[in-house]
Amino acid sequence: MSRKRSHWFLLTPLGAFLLLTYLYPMFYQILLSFEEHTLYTVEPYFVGLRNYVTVLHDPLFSTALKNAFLWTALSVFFQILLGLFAALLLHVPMRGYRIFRNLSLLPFVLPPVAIAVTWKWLYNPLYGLINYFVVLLGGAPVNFLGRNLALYSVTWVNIWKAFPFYALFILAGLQSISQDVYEAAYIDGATSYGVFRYITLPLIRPLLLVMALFATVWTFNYFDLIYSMTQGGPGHTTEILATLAYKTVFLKLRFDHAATIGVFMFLINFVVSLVILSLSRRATS
Amino acid sequence: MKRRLSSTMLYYVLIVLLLGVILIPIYWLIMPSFLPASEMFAFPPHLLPRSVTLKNYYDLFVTYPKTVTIDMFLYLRNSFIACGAASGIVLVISVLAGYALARGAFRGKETVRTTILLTQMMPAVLFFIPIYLLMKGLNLINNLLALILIYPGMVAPFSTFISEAYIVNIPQEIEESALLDGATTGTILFRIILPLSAPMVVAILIYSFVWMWNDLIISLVLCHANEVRTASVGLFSFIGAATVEWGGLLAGTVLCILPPLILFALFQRFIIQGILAGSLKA
Repeated sequence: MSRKRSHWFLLTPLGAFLLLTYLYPMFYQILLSFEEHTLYTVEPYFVGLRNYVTVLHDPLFSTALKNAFLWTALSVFFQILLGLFAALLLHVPMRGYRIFRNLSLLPFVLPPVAIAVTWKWLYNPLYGLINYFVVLLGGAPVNFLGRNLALYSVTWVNIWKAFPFYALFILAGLQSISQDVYEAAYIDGATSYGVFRYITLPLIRPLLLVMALFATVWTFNYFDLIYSMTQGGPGHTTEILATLAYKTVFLKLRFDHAATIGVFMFLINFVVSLVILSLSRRATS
Repeated sequence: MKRRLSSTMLYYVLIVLLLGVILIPIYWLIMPSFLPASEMFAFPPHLLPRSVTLKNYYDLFVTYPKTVTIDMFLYLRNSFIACGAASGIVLVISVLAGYALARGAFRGKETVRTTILLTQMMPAVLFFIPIYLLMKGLNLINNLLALILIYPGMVAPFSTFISEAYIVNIPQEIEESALLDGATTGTILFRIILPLSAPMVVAILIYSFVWMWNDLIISLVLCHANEVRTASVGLFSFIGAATVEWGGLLAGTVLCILPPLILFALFQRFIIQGILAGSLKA
């Protein structure tokens, strides 16, 4: 066998699995969104854009879309901000860097369901640790997973889970900046803030941007954490598109509507992914 | 000098605060799982345990399977089977593909790489509906085989990049001399590349295993019946129950975080390097 052919041959197993998990489902999903297809449909048939009209007119869809944007924007912003803060702190050459590096990925490697249990326990209005401190400081116990706060409470958990992970990447970026640049600036009499604002930040901005976009894709679709904490409740206040699609399948048994929601999610993801690709191309060239 | 001292103080205060934010919630999961009910629900809570018991774990393994059909041991076993088998598949397919990408000079390589990158950006949850219908058609719902078939494709794009990044750095001369001796691609891969790449193998296996172990959506959709639940789904059904049995739930959660925790503690260096290398590549 020629070497060239054998390289294609080596790619086949990966291709087969990607076909099964991505390619086929992607086309099937698009097909489903144009069909009438429920659990009780005997023979699915073509209905044009009817599912799209139904989904777009569903008030729950716009609620979920709004929640998803809020949840994504807040999560990503604070993940990167806290990550940057932690990275700058650890970049100071003192002890602490190693310990942090060893512990930073801890929340990131734990199962989201386990994290949900932990935080539900911490948030518990009757015997939770956080409310203990609230009461200690003279406040009344807060229902963190009630209607008003649930979205912010789960968003905080998501921030907590991922910011150390981003800190690790930003730290790697900071360490790749040559030390000479800093020295030159300090000799010229720059302040710490000045150095950060005019040297460090511009140099790591491309990294932050790419990370923010990746975080956007991950968070926007992040079903596991939000669903195991609140199941989208109470009263749809933490419903995002992913949880809505899940409920549409398993509570309403409407595969067609759920697939249509999936197509919307896919389009949003696809656009963000293309932006990431073109940005990282530009950064490398 | 004084200024210096106070900024060092500030530094340590901030570091301790940072570590506290990360660690206290995890402490507050593990510690109470060893408390008797009377102490668990004490308010104000006891920040340090005054008495310790294994009753929650005993209940989890002995009482619950009999009374409420929640069998954490079975769920953990299911997770081990599904994630172990699927991780093995990931290792094989991503090393093969990574080798082709690292060494191959063929047309369309960039297209292949972009396609893999795009699939990596498309998360699992987007496609659970067609995947569910596909598996329903194949009669594989509530069968661990469904997970073993679906998981690898979700993890393989990333591990392919890890393996490509690693293989590129192996000097090519070794292979060339083997090629002159008439070795096939298979021999080169299994006799030369794999033995040289222990860190890569470890990184890929752990990354895949932990990813699959942590997954909720796919296993919830494909394996929801009691006998085939994975650890995540098992815990999830615990939370969903009308009255939460906090004792058993916390104990079960501790067991569920143990495998990722242990793997991570043992192979931390590999993982951090592997993930940094793989992502910086992407």
